[in-house]
Amino acid sequence: MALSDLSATALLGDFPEAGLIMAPDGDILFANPAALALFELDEKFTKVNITSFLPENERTRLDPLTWMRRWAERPDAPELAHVHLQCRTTSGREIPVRVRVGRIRSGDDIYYAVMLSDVSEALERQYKTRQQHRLAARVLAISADAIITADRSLQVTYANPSAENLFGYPGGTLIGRPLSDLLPPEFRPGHETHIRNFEKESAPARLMGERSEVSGLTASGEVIPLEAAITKVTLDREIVFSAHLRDLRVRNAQAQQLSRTLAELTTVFDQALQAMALIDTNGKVAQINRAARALLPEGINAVGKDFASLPFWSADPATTRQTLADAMADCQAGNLVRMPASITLPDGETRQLDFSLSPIVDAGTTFAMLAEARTLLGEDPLSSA
Amino acid sequence: MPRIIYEEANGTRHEVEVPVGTSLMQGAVNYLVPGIEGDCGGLCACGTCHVYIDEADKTLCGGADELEQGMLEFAFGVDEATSRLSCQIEVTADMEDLIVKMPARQY
Repeated sequence: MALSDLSATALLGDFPEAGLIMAPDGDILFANPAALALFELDEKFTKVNITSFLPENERTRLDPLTWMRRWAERPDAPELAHVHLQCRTTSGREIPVRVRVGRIRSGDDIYYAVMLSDVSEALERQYKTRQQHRLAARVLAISADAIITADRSLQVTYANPSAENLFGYPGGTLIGRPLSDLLPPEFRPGHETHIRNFEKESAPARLMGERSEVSGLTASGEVIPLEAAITKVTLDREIVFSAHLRDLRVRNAQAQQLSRTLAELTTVFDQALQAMALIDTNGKVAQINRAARALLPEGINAVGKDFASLPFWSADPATTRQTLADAMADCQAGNLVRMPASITLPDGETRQLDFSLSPIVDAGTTFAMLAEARTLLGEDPLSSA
Repeated sequence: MPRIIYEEANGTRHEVEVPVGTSLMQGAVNYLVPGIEGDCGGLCACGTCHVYIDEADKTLCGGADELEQGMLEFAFGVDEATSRLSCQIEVTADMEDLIVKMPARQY
């Protein structure tokens, strides 16, 4: 008993998806209006085999009849959720279609009902989503900060390469580990409490700088200083914590080096036998050393005052101001200025000084000046220089 | 942990340390190596982790079984001699510096 057009129409005619009835050899016996439209087929088509709708390119390895038979026998085949067939319409247009196949028995005859849906738009959306995901994932992957996510049970669900390198767990081996593995044991109980409190807070993030330095534990057992920012997001009702961690080892080492260098230079400056003062670009005293303070009357704090207004200059204030203003302008242009100067000490004694102003330059800009003074003994060395 | 070299169709190489026991597909996906999708998550049901393994390395990687050969029919640019689905190849310690070449596109 053959499958009549009438029963085929009754089965598939009203479906919005393209539906075909196919003989086991692939000959199309019936196509519903949606299928006629999809394949651009005339409704009076004859002798059309389904394989004629497959493109003749590198995909010719695919044997559609074998796969359709398999899918008819196994409607739950896992690949049905993922694969599609590339169909070519009568005019040569190629359309990706998802396929569902059912077997129909009519007496001793076997037919296949094939439902096809155009998935070009879905694939386009999937492609765009995938690209966005890939972009976001790449940004995470190349981040210099270590980024780790964890689920509610505080198990690691993602770690970027920086995190793997920082903690010494390569190749995805951080995933699934408890977050507490990355903390020195003494911090583990407190950390869990901290995270649980954060979970209850309304703030979605605690940023770097809002928290003090934290400690991490590497796979090799080294305790490392870290700066951390934590965030939480809820995805499908599941909370996801993420930590952005920055290795502070280099920064701390640099800060220590800087602090030591500063201590050394402060000592050299303050203990020097020569009178010295650091002057800012507005002509105010930023720092003054011990030898220079000795030239001032007791109780005078020179820091913050106009260098030209300090009470030791022998010349009248207007002349001093003008002479120093000229010297500072010259110094700020990048020149070492050297000149004789006369000062009067608190006890009334007058001394002739070899006075100099040196520019202190950073990135081509003078940001301060070093004033130095040496007492001239005997002949004026400036005149013989 | 052997180092696997994933090579894109344009010649760009990505060297990744992949844990023994995971699949070549998972190693690439974990490190966001472009060119391997792994849509089905390793069930051998999508053909989007198609790669080429040199014939010289076939002893390391074994051959494709019937199911994998079937799914390869859906892949793009299949080469009978070298095409494999990377989700079906388990990484072993002997695979140090194995070169896994990827097609111009999946699907």
